[in-house]
Amino acid sequence: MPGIGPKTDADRNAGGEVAVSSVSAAGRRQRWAGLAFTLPGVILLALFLAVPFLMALGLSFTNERLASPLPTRFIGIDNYARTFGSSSFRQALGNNVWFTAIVVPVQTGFALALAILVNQRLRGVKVYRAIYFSPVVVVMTVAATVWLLLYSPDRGLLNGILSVISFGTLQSSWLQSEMMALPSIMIMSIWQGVGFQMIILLAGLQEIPEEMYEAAAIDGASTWQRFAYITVPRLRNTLIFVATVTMILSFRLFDQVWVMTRGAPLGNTNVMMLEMVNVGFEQQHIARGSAIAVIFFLIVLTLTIVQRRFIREEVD
Amino acid sequence: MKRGSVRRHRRGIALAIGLALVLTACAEDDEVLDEAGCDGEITQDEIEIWWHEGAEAEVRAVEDFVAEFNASQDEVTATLTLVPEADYASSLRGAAASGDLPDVIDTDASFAFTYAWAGDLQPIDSCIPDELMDDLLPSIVEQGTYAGRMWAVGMFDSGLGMYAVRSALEDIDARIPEGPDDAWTVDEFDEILADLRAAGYERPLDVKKNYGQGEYYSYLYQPFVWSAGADVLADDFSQADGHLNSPEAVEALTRFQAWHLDGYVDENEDDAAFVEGRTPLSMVGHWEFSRYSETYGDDLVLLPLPDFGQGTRSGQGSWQWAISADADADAAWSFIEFTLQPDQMERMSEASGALPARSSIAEQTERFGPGGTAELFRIQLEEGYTVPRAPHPVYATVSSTFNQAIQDIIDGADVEDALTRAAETIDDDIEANEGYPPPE
Repeated sequence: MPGIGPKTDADRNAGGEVAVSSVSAAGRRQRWAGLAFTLPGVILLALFLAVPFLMALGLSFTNERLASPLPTRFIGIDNYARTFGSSSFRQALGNNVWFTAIVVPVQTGFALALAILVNQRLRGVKVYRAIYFSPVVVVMTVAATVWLLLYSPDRGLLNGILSVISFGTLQSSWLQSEMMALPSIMIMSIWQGVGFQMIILLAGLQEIPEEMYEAAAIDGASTWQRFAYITVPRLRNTLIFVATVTMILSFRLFDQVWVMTRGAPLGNTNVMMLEMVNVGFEQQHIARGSAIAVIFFLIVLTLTIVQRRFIREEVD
Repeated sequence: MKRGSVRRHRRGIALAIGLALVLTACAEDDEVLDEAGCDGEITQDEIEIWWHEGAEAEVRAVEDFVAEFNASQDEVTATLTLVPEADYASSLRGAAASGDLPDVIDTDASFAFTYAWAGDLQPIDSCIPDELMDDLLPSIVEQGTYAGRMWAVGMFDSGLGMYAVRSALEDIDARIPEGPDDAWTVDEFDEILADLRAAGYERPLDVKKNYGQGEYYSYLYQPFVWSAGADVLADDFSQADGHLNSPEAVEALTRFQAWHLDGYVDENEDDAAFVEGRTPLSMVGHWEFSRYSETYGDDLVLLPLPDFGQGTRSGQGSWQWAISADADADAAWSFIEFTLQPDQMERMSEASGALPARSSIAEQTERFGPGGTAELFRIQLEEGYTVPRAPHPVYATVSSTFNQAIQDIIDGADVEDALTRAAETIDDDIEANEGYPPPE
């Protein structure tokens, strides 16, 4: 298509009569340029995503071990059957679902609230943006270690504060408590992840023309009405993006759990990624670990597709 | 139309490449066990050594040994790579899986046999001279042997004990055992815990909870199972069900669970429960001996672990050398042998606080020799109060599932359920590996 790419010498020199042929030459060159630019990305994705995944898919039907003198054999769907038959896998899957069901709406809600908060024209608002964003910059393992200290039952800051304000009546053993362990990880994860979502939503907010709010204000719309009828519909695509990404990240939950609990107590914080590492690497059943990876991929893929379908239909 | 066919073509090619990669990945790794061993002739002039970067003093000793070894002869040059301890097991696993093991590695106790079984190591019995073999502690030989061959040898051996503050025990009129044959029974121990609490120690027992879930659980708590007269596996390593979850094992670990549920165990988040006097009892290995005796001097007493019915038991085994299958065994052994000489062994024992691996040397040291303050560790090892962690390739799975079970028990799980689940996981693993057919 003429006019999109930068003008080539051929365009400038040639008269109107040769325009057709020069455009197609430029177009071809552009296509090559496009391919050349995407190639490194495609190669890297193929090498480090597609190929390992295909290998995992292949391995998941074998008896492959990390270290074993036994010949690799095709064993059909045995790994999948054993995976679904394992109570710890089912518990991990349940924890993932529960974690995602809570974290996605709460974190997206918080991110939206923060984005609106830091979208105001106030002096020093950039400082607040930086503060809310800072947990994102911290490496997860470091953040998890810090929270491990905060949650410590005997010497942790959190119990310290709770005990002071409640005169010693309110205490929790947090990560060691069957009831509080997963919620504790949810809180920590939301704290760490919310800043990223905030920045994306902030960009979305700044896309909304100021005039729309002014017009609404003249029409007598209340603050709530402006939020519900301008902000939310206008942010729709951004919100969908944020919710989808948060969902995928929630399913990928691993670092925090690895550092803070390793799945304890009683598997209450066990998640699929952790189960995969335990089975595939600690117990060296690389084939069964691969089966978990494939199951994980299919679940996330299905959820993403369903989410997109579901939301598209609403538009129509 | 043409376009469509090209596209279809392209998809076919991608699929073919993918499949080819999958198939090549499956086809690797049919390594043949290298039966070379030592033939008395050094054919490799450079060897690479890995050591886990754990305790600083031990690391420094190994660094010194490498430098001295290189200076002492000009046939073989050794280079040392230190790998952080937290990542060491995974680094080894990764290196073995990709066929990149260095010539000499050190592994923690029974983990060597995973690699031995997989054909990544070579037996070293042809390397060890008889004179040295006879002098090695029986526990060292036992811990290095699998399928009738010796695969690994340590410079030192380990031990567990109940460190106690003598005066605190005297205040509550507790009996102080003389040695491993009159260890506290678990009933006696429960009473002592209650008495100590009554004497003002809210949580009188330290079990190093700060170490967290890991190999330490297997090392410290499998002895409870053995002491109860049960075992983790059948004698031929073919089954865990009926052993790990036997009534004796369940009973022993239920008693252990009660210490936690009744709040007798200090969290030890600062790793100072014992030295700061919060707990007069600390159940831990030989490596704390120096720090504890500096704190308490003569008031420190080293006791055997409680007896769960069939006599006290302690863990054994520690880091040990092994030679990878591709290495020239003679070159690799020349370095290992260097570290097993009396002088090096004494210095390493000094650095690690552990018992020297040779009886002749262990008996001469002041600390472990007859009448020494840490004599208990030597007696336990020499007189059969210790049990090796299953010297078999299934141990990698035993360890991770047992550790998980212990964590669950500490967190309040039903003991029988937790142990049965662990036993099933282990049996499942044995089955998946076709019973771990021994190397030829």
